[in-house]
Amino acid sequence: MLLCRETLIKLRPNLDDQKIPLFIFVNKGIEIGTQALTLEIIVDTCGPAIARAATFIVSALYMSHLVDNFIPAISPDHPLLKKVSIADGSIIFLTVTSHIVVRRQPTSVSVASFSQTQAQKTSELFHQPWFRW
Amino acid sequence: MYPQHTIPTHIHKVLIFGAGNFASCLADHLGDSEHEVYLWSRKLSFVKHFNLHHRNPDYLKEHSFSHNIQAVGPDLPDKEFIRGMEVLLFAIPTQAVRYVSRWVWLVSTLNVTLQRNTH
Repeated sequence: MLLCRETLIKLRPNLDDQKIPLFIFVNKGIEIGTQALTLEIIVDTCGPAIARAATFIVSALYMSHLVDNFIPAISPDHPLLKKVSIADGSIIFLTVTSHIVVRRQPTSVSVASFSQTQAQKTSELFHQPWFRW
Repeated sequence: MYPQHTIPTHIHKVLIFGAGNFASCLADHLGDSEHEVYLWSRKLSFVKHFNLHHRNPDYLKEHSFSHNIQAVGPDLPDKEFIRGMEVLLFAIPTQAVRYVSRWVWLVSTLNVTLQRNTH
């Protein structure tokens, strides 16, 4: 599996320092071995300038909220539950959120960045009436 | 009936690294908003399947994806291609996600087993 650090290392020589694109990350988790967060991996591989301008998307639909309020409210044979495994919460999270977005059902996410300008660009890129930022 | 989308004032060129569940979802959302989207996968079979059918064989299988998305891969795009992109979106794992999922599964399984044995 090609992971975040490996991809960024391969990608870095192809970037034009005079024209850095908007970086958006939806990665989660901690790197095994280094215990590094995604932001720290970006600093290691691409440098602090790109890390400062990077933006991060976080879903506003928290796992506990879904499990407590959303999942029981829909029938067991609802299409949203096709891939749900209660033993693995992350599957519930991603499956439900993805289906909601592609069906244009209302949801919201948050964007975080050290750069307000870049965060605003990310927000404007994704914003639609049913997908609020 | 799906709600109408608003057309952006500027069409962005977006390269998405990863072709999993959430990557595909965001690619579809951006393609649906008329942006020019490239979805990178390291699996050649995925690239061929997606460009032919506009469907993801692994996730959101019943969904027909926007025709504004083109799958690329399995090699990483070259320098010229990368420099033509305005947005790079990373939806690839940082190792621990999968590890944590397995750990949660193990704890849940053990918990169920313990509960059964104590009743």
